[in-house]
Amino acid sequence: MVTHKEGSGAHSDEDRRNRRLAAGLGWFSLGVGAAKLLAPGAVARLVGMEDKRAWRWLVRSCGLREVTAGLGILFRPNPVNALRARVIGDGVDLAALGIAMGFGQADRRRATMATGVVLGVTALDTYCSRSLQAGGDGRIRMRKSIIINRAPEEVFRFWRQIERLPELVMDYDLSVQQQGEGFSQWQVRMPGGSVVAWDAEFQTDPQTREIAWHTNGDARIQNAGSVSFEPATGGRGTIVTVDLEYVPPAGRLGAHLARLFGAEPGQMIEAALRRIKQVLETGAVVRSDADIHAGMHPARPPKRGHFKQIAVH
Amino acid sequence: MKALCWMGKKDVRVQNVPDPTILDQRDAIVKITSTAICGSDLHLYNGFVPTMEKGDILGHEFMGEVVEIGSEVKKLRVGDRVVVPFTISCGNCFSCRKGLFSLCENSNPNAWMAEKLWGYSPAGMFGYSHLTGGFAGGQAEYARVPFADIGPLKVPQGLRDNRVLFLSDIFPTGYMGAEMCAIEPGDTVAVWGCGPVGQFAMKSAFLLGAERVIGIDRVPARLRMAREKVRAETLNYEEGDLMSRLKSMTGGRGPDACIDAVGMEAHTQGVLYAYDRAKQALMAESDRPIALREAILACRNGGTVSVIGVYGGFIDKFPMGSVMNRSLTIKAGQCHVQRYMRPLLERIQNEELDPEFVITHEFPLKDAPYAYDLFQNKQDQCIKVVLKPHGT
Repeated sequence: MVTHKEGSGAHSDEDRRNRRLAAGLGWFSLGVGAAKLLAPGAVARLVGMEDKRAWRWLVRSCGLREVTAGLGILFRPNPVNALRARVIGDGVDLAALGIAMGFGQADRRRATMATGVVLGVTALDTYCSRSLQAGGDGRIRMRKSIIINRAPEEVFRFWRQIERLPELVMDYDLSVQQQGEGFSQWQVRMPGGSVVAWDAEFQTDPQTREIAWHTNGDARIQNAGSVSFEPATGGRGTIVTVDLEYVPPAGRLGAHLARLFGAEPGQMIEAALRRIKQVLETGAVVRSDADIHAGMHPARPPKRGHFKQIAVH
Repeated sequence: MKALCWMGKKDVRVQNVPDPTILDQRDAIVKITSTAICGSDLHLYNGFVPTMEKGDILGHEFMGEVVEIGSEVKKLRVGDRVVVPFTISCGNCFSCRKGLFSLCENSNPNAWMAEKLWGYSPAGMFGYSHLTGGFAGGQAEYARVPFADIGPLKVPQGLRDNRVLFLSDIFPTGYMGAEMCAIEPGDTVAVWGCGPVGQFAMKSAFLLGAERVIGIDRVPARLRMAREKVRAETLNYEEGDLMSRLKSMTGGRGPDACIDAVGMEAHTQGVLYAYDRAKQALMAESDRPIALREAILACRNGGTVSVIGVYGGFIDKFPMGSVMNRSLTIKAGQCHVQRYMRPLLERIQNEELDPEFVITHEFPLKDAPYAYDLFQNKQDQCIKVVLKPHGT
């Protein structure tokens, strides 16, 4: 049961369309950016700003940023970050237009039209960067690995007790329970208390020590993954590699997951792997006075009763 | 309890905060009898270090008495007198097993933050921003010490606090700075920065066999301390051309090793300083590598530049050509304190040096904000401040 490795690039029709859209946005960025750099006065008048020196410099700097983003989209192998830069830049443009509209001599009608155009382009940029990130078929894929100073057998044995993992390594509300040979039930607790659950099939290959799982057709979050345990060089322990792909669900569940995972889903996996390493190498998850609280908190002892004791295994 | 909290740039205040408690059964709670302000605390004070939260407790040089231990602590008992290293280490990972305690792979719960800035994360640290884990610091009446079996060093009653306190950070740091120079008999070692760490670096250079040690600074009190207490030669970089004087002192060859004990808030005269400060203000450069550049350019061919001054981000105009073409070795690092504490305690017990010589001021904890101001502005000939949270 092998998942797609990162970068194997499913070249579906949707993927090709997204890439063409990205290229179009890249050329658009270059063109508009060049115009802003070379004819800032004309551009300013076009969007309804006064043609004053200060506005010209503002337009030029926006132009420089757009040219850079355009080059990034067209010439980098992964244009997602450059597209994101465009989205941020669009925000700056909207703010600039907003400020310009506040000044007496502005041509309101033109500024309003320009705002409309920028909003449209922002929508395109956002859509394109999201779709490219998700890969052509809308799935998110990742591979994360960590090296642990323990023998592969020990790490493998630890991992097989999969029920303990979420409680050990994740603060939040995802639990996995084994239900007999080869099946597990996953549960996500939503804000508000309700629980979303689905089943997944499991396979363990005793030869290669690879554990793989995949959800069945009607699971709320379609996902598949595998974990492998390779000996590191020089007897330095085990390299644990997690391959994961999932389809971000729509609606509330999707939004909740997006919040849990953050902007980079891989980060959550990395954090989990780090904590597993801490448990195997030192006996427990390492916490600081600040991070035992959810969210930002100053580095000082907690108020009595406002934290959980950390179990040592 | 009372604790010194960071409230913003150049704003530290003593506040009432909850007492620390055992969070993990390998913790110990230490009642702090002495704690010091470090030069690197000034980077926090001056707002150069990102990821600070209003209310963070500062302080990473502290010692005291164990008042509570978790059930998994084997090497300490309640009542033991300990010095606590500033770096938090698990003792079991690849780095700790190699003696690289400030690179512990497990002790920074915010490793992802440090990875974004530096590529990989070093160990967690007391009281030094959330980048290093968000651990409450030791400029307070009590502190929670994780991995109590690995870090704290038991010290005998016969040695008073001020003699052993600096085993927590600055003495091992200066010593490691000198050790990284791979000093051979007859060597000349030049040290940029005659603050407390520089003083220990110079002293350690002598202990490790250097024949000549040259201290570089501009503050008269610090240069005098280097001459009188350490018996180093000194150069005031505001009086004459530093580089040509170093050359003429060494017959045109240059010092065999150069130690940068200054770090990112370096100062110099003239255009270069203005350039670096301007770049910092524009956020185009986060650190000022003035001392580092000089140390590299002054070092003899084939010599070693040892960096123990603290840097956080990126620098500009680095003399890589000088490094490569002249076979220089650059060694750097946050001190692996646990590695040095025992051998350096022995040197103190054998009276090879008395670390107290760097202390110029002592205050109760409540005067800590004033002490920071004094230390930052180098007023009243201030070189090192020790705070006493529970009185002398």
